[in-house]
Amino acid sequence: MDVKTVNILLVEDDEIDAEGVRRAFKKHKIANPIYHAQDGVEALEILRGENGKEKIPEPKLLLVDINMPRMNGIELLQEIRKDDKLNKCIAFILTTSKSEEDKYKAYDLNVAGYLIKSNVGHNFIEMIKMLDHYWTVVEFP
Amino acid sequence: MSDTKEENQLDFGVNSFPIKFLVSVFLISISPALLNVLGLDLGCAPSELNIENIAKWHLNGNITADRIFAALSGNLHHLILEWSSVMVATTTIFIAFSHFSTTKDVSSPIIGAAILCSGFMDAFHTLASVHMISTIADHSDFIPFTWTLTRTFNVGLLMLGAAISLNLNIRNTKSGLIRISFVTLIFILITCLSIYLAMNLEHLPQFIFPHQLVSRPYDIIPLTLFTLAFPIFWKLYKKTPNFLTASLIVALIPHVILELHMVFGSSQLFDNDFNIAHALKIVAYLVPFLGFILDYIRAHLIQEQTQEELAERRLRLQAVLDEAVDGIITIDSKGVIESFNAACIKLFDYSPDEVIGKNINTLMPEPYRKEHDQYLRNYHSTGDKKIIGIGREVSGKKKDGTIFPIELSVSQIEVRGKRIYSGIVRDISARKESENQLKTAVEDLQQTNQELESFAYVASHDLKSPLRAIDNLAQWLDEDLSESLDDENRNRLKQLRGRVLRLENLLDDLLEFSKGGQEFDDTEIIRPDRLIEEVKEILNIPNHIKVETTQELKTIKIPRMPLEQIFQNLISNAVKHNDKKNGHITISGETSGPYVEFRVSDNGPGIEEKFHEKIFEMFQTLRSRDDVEGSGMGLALVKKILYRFGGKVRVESEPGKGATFFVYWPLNPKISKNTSRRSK
Repeated sequence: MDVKTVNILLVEDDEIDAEGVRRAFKKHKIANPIYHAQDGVEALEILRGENGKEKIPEPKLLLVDINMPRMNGIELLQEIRKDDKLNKCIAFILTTSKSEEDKYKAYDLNVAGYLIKSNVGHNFIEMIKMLDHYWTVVEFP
Repeated sequence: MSDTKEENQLDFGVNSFPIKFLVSVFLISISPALLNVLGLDLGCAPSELNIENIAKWHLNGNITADRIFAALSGNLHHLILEWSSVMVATTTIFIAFSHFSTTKDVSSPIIGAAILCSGFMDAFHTLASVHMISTIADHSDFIPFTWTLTRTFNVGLLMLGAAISLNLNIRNTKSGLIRISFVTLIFILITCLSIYLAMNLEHLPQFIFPHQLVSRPYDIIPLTLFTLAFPIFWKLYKKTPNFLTASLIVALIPHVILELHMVFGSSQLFDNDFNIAHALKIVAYLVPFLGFILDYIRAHLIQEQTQEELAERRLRLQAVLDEAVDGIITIDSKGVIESFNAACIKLFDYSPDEVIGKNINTLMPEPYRKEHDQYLRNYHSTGDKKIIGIGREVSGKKKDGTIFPIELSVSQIEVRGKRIYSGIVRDISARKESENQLKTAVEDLQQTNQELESFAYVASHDLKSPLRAIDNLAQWLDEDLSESLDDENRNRLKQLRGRVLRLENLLDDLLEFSKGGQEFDDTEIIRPDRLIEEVKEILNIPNHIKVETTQELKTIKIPRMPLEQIFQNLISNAVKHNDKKNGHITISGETSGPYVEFRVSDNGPGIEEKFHEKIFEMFQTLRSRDDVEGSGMGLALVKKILYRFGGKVRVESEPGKGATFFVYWPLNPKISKNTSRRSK
């Protein structure tokens, strides 16, 4: 593959959910580098390389939870879309919220997909497979 | 009198002609004639008072007062008798007007005026006879002439009065009075004219023909007229039957008898028949006088009785008003309080003296107070009713300013062209309070219900995320420690994850329960057999269990939601609990009354009767959850959904004989949307 490895920024406040994503990637032998931010504020720091954080290299893909402390997923996306340097980011929502309102807000902010953390025991399998396909097929900005 | 006393009506009529009265008058009228038969002469000697006699007495030197008075005895008797008639006649007019003021009957003053004018004529006749009025004609002819004249005049006026009374139908006092005055004036004018003409007559024909059968032929005129008066008086009596009109008829008896005495009996002045006639004339005047008095007394008695009755009625009404449980207030068209009953005193703490005469808005708090005047004005000008005849819940204000809820109904009453309003006031504080309590209780209950449902939703939703974390951690432990984990611990991890799964199922069911049947609004209409096919696919029914539907289901239409949920739960229960090698589940159904009745029958283990109610309660399972996975929410959900839409569910079953669940789905589901689930 001549495509550059996609860097993943996982924005997730729940340690176990983050661990779950990491383990799922590992399980499927996906070795893409995963950056982890606890919330929207930290995610912005990583995206911009501020506050002593290592800046995430291109190409990058965001997996964003919605309910988070300090800055939630929707607010983070609003910030990103306002930022000239970041506004072309590809972002997926990865959440437990089935709220229609959240879904509309997210798509208003041009998310690539709205993924709902499935029930216990599914371990993101389908989702991981989809993401793996996505970045091998899709051209990144 | 005695027979009319019982009458309660307000008209002053008599029931039957007063025959006793008539008979008495008749007896009195013929009594002088009877005395004659017995040989009694009631006559006086003819007047000897003339020039020759006086000269003779003078020559004889025995001109005494006795002699002069003896000579004048006929004249004096005549004077007394005539003057008595005059007195009765003139007095009659006063009683006639009193009669009129009581009965409002126009005939009484007219008759009274006729009698009065007759009396005047009699007075003229009398005064002329004793030379107190000088006349031109010869005196000896003048007395019989004026007699006949007054008699004719008398009957003429009475007939005229009766005829006028018959044609005057107006009982209205004002125009009646004008007419009466007019008639009276005409009577007086006729009288004056007649007197004037009589005084100026020069030559009179011979009036008395002694020794003839008809000694006074000219008196045949009044005799005939008195006879002819009968039908007119009878008509008047029929029109207004009272003592007065009856007495007019009765008076005809002495009138006729006295005229008979005159026409056939009296051959000279002051003789027996002459005197009888004059005496009977008094009787003839007295009869209508008595008629007036009897009527007057009776009218007064009736009026008294009526007033007593009115007073009693008023007292009764007042008692009704005072004893009424509801407040009753009357106001005039300007809103001024006219009456205030006892219940009102309790309601408003005002005494009647304090509010009567004040505006009704004294009893009203703002904003009714301001609105009321405007409202009354509006109503008078536009007829726009806000409360009249309707009844409303408004507020009242007590003396101490306390405002309390009342139910007010107002009706409009017209009394003699005056408009008043009566309001019935009922204190509804107690009712309002219990209404409020009920409302609060309902609100509390709704709040609790809502909280409970949102709690169920939040719990089931938000509890899932830590649950998933626990499951993940257990799984990772299992994966990471697979090398070193012994079977016992591996089993524990498996059990841990099993419990997590059960808890999640429970939460899912709880979530379902909290939403229970809310998707009804825009659901599709479907045939039950097709719906059950779909349910079968979702449920992954094992091969050894057959689920069948009957033919009738194809003829029914039902909404997909919530029946999908219902069938899903019932069929999955039947599948889950089936313990047979070849399981059979049959679903049948048909329309029955206001419901579609479905039956879900299985050949499973059956349910003991003591559990038939319990199975529909929340979190109830009859078997260990380790044997059969289940949250115990399924049947509770089915019951809740059906209850919400006005349907019901029940079970028939015996252990070992399978179970049949009866579902009654209403043909016209009532949709109660009392649950407003939070949107997030």
